[in-house]
Amino acid sequence: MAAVSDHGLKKIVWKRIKDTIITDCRKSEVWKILILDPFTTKLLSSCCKMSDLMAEKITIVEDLFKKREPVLEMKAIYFMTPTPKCVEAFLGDFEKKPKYKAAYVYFTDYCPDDLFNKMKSRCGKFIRVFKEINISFLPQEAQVFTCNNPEAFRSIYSPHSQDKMSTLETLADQIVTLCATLDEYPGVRYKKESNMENAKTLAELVDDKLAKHYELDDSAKKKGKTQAQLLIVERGFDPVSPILHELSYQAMAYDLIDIQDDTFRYKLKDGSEKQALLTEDDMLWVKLRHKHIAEVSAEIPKMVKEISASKQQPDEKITISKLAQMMKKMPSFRKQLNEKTTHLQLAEECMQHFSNNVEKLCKAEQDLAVGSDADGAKVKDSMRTLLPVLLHPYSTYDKIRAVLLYIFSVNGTTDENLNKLIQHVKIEDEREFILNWKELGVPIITSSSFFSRKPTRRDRSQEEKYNLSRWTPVIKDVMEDAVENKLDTKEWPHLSESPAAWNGSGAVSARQKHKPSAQDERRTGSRLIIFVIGGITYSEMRCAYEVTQAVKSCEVIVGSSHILTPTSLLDDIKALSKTSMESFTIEERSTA
Amino acid sequence: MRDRLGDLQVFISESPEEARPSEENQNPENAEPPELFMFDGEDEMDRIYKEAQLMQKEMLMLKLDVKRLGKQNARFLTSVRRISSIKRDSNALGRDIKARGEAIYARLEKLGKQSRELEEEHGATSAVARMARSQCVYLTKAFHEAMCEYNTAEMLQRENCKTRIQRQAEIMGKEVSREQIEEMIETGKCSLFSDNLLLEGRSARSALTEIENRHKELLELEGRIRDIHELFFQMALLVEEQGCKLDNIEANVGQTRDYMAEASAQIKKAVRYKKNNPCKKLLCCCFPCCR
Repeated sequence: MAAVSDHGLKKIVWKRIKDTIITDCRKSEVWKILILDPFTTKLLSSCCKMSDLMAEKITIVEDLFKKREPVLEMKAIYFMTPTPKCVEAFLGDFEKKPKYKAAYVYFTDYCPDDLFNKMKSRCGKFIRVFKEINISFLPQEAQVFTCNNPEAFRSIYSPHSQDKMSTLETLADQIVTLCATLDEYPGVRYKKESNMENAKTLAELVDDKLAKHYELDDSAKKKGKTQAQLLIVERGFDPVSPILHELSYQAMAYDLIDIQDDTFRYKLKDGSEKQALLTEDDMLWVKLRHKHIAEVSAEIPKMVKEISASKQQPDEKITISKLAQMMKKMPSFRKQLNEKTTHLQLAEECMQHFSNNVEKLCKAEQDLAVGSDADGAKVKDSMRTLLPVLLHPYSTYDKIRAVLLYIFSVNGTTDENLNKLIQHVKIEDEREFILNWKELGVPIITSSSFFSRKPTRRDRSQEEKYNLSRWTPVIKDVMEDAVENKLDTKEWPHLSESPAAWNGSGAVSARQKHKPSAQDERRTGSRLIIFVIGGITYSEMRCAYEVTQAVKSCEVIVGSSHILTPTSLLDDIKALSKTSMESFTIEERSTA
Repeated sequence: MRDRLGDLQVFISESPEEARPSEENQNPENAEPPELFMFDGEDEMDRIYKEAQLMQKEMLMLKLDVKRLGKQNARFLTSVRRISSIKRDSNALGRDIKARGEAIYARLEKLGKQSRELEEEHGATSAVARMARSQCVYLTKAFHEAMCEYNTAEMLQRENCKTRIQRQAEIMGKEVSREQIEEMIETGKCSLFSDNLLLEGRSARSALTEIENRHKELLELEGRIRDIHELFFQMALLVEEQGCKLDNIEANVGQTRDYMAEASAQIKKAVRYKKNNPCKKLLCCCFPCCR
């Protein structure tokens, strides 16, 4: 796999920031202070390091919302979101007694007029730079972005929600900044559903805002549509993928182990506590994260050997050659050692969970999800597949997941049957775990005559697969169809016109080329961007990389308001029926 | 991206009346001496920045030396003449690099000490302490990178020498493996050819000379590395101590704390207000005996 850092989202975002904020900053070679709000802190943290900033003459970073020490003879760079709270904090720095010599102001998106006027009238003379740089999404991975908004799920799907429209507007703004950062003006398409309109609404908002953005943008100047497509789809289109027990390393780890803020905490044999960040700085993680756990486990003995070999006996004769070799490896040696230790631990924990109970669950789950067993025989009676799971003492969440998979596989069940299942799992007081799926447009209670057309899946019988990992997320089918330009226009209507003959093959008409495209740059030739309303799963993120790797000429980028884990999704679904009056704390397990 | 500085300035020039009242608001406070928060550590920070700049320059010089060494090494491999003078220069460069490296390391230690003192004086979360600490971390990392470049250059030379020896040995008709060459270097002896006293042909003899020269070069290279490895290890440990947590922006922002204005400034204010209390003034008039 090509080095992640070559062309990933993080690199692109950092380059954007360098071209705007840093370039302005370097015009005067004095040290400056950088002031960030919680969002921009996350944004910068995800794409650069302190040392990168220091190389550009930024000496310290400060928190906008904390009371800061005045440093009168230094200029301050403010990088913040255009919200009233941020603007008030800014005004507080300069109105009565200025804290800094001058301010360079950068907003992540367009600043509303009222806030702009406030700043003008009250602190205008201190502002030396005022730019809106349109980056209001988080580059989570090289090909994954999020809008840092887990609350969007409730806002859009809860029947008690009052602010669905404003959430959709915010998400649309963020998606537009993604397109702007990628320098794309995509054709927008959405998945047409009979019972849910959110994708259509969001698509219309995005299309509209894209047009407006490219009118206002300084650098774009009446940009035409580029070779890119943006697909918008709702979570309900594939309820199976977020519920299934996945066996690829990253998805499995986040499902079975409590990983908060991408930090894996573990104890070594000597009792010391360690922490490891699972990000793209960890090269071993990047290599392993999409692999099946079986392949990762195969690497374990090798890693154990390498780790114990590195623990050299101190009295062993240190020859010069060994010394020189150690010096050569020293910088990255310790880092690699740490990475190996981390993944050794993580993989072992995953396998432990797997052999304890997940293994037996997986077979039933796969049969229900795929609709046929490992030998290809169709499942005739889903209830027979489900029953053993219900009878075994699995955890409640695992049983709920199995029941849901059953319901999805039969396209909804009768009220009577559902009650029996709920009784069996003993969630009479928590039946919202199952019932509230209707808010996402997924049929739960249907009459026996209800017929819902299940999406026809691509034939993957030729692909080599593990028996317990036969399910492929529906989004992969969508990606492959889109790249081959096979998406049905009735199911996926276009909004405004897409560029003629968009296909993912990378064939770009000579007129539309802005820059000479070398063979390697064909990767940036066309892009497919997919946004899932309601959260995206790790397995779906993996599909983006798999398809990009297979197709090579089209880069697939996926994103959502936040990233889901099965547990966090179940909790969120249950919470949909709570009104805001009740003090119910949702245990937020998503990592967005 | 949109630049709105133009709009900002237009507004200001259009409505000067609005700008003036805000300035006037500041004047009534002239009754008290304007409490401009003086940045406490201004002088100290200036000193640290100057020092940082000088150290950056030194490291640049170090890097240039390393590049020069690399060129020298390459020259040694390709030219056959005046080997001794080239060797002399390589060693001289090696010594220079070591000296410069040690000087920079000493200054880094001093800077580190200064940074710790500032922390004690102004508090760990004060702006000046954080600025000093981040400079320390940054310079340490830069220095470590420079040393790594040196190590890479020497390692490359090492590999090239070994390859040369192998090839020359082949010319002589003798197959030599990498491990045997390593052993040669370890023992310092050119034992390979001790059993081949009678060498036939001029090409074989020149090949042998060539090998002997390479071998000597390798030994000297090892000597240079041995000299400097101590410094290198110290650096590596230091960089590791500081860890990558300090490089993480979110962690840095999370460490900041609300700034509490110095208690003394507030106390002074309180005393002044107390003295100017009109009730107290009256009382003082009535009761001159009271202070």
